[in-house]
Amino acid sequence: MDNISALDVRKAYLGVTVRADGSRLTPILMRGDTKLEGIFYQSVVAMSKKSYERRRLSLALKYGTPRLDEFHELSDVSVALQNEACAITYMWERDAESLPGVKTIRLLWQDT
Amino acid sequence: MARHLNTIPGRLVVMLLLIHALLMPPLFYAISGTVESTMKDIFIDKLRNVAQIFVDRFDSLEPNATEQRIVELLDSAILSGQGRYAAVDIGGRTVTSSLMTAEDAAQFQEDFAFGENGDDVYYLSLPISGLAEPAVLKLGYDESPIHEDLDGIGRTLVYVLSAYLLLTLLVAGLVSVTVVSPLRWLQTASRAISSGDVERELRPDSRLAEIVALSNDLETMRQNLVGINERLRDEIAEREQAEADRRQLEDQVHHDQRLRSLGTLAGGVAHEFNNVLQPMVLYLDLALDDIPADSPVAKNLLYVQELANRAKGLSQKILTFSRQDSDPRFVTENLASVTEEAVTMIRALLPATVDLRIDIDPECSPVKYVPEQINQLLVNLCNNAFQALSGASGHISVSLREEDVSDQLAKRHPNLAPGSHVVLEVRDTGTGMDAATQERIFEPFFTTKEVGKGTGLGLSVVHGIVKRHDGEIVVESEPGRGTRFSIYLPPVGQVEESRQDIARM
Repeated sequence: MDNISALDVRKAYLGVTVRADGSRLTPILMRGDTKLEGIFYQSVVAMSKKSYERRRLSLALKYGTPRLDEFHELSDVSVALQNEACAITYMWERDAESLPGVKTIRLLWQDT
Repeated sequence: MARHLNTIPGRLVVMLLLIHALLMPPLFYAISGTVESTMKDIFIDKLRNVAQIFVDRFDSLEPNATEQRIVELLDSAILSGQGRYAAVDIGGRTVTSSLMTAEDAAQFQEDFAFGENGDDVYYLSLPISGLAEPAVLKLGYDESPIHEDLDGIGRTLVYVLSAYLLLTLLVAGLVSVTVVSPLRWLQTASRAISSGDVERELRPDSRLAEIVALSNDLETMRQNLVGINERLRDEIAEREQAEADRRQLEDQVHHDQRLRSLGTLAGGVAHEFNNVLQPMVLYLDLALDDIPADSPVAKNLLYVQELANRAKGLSQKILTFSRQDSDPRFVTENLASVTEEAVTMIRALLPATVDLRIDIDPECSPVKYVPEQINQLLVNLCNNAFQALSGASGHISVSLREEDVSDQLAKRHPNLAPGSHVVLEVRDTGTGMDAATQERIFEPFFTTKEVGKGTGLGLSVVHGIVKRHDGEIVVESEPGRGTRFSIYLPPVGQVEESRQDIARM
């Protein structure tokens, strides 16, 4: 998991299959925090929310790509991360530090 | 104002204005909102893509890339699109683009939505992992072109919606004119019809099915009304004509009755007068026989005898009028010869200035008549015609023909039956008579001449002769245009039929 690049993460969230350590990356969407979502759209997928949602829908309709898991609660995200070996998501640094077994692989944004 | 609002165009315009007043604002905000949202989304989308490209380019730099190379990339970020800010925070220091203004360099305030922070610049920061130390790329792009575009689109939208409203009102106006124009035409035509111009057709120049159907129904109604009106008018005219005929008939009957009464009275007087006159004439004859012819008394008695004879003639005329004269000798033959003889005699008595014309149809049916009386009749009528010329030149026409009496003429003269009649006609171009004079011309002793110039018995005698011949006399006269006396005599066969009809009754 250490060698996952920003491009790999982006690919995974855009529906492209990415493998790391022999396993397929499973991206998880974190909902409910507007600013966190804004950082996600700006720093991870590099597009607007509307474009991203349209692309996800298009992939689902065209290729049958399964929809990404979405969670609003941190506890749910935590469970999902623990159940899936190669699951990735985005969250505030303080939340990441509070969850056991979660590894930070990239810093997306810093408050200036 | 209220009057205009209660018209079709008024209602239509008000309705359209209300509908548009309700629909236009939400429509405007819906369209402009959608456009604004889409444009902002496209802006952010494009900006994030561009930023990502620059992150990728920084990531692909050598870890120990020079600051100059970093500045070059930042300059490139400023030059791509509407760049206002480009900097990299690396190892506690900030490398900025050489194209940034000092004012812009101090403004960085990160945005996650278009228009955030109200600074007209969209700032974003992205981590860079390709350099020797952790770094953050910071970019800022101008939002004002999007604001200007949105303002422009808003204005265009206002123009388009205003044009749409005007066009709608224009179309509504045209539709109103198309509908209202034939309706107004129908209204004008209906008013004309109600004012009496019932011949005005109710067919406006319109192809609208509803208007055509309405005008067809109204036209049918008008035609029915016209039909009823015409029938009523005909009925009224018929009744008026019948009333006029009845009045004329009554007048004629009254006239005949009056003449008959006068005849009876005058006949009685003439009869008594004759009874006195006869012995007077007889004794005069005896007295003349007894005295010498050259005595002065004989001369006086002869004068008295002449006067007595004139009185006898007068008395005879009255008896003829009253049809009480002695049994006349009837003959049955054509009237041509007796007419010709009478006219020959009359012509000799008239001055050369009078043009006497004669037109006799020798093929006329025979009638039963008394030659002396027909002769007397013609003499009296011609004498009357000559006196109507008042000594001036002119002409008198005498004609004999056969004519079918129409029902209309028979209606006006109760003693005249429809069918063939022999007509003896005397016409002059003299002074003519007014209606009042015509009413009394057959009364005995009625005259328009000066006292002592006429007995007033000429036309009375004519009337008596015609009645004795079962005929009818028709007078047509107009002051200044002459007079026509038409004597209708029944042909022999018709008289027989009439008598048989009477016998059967």
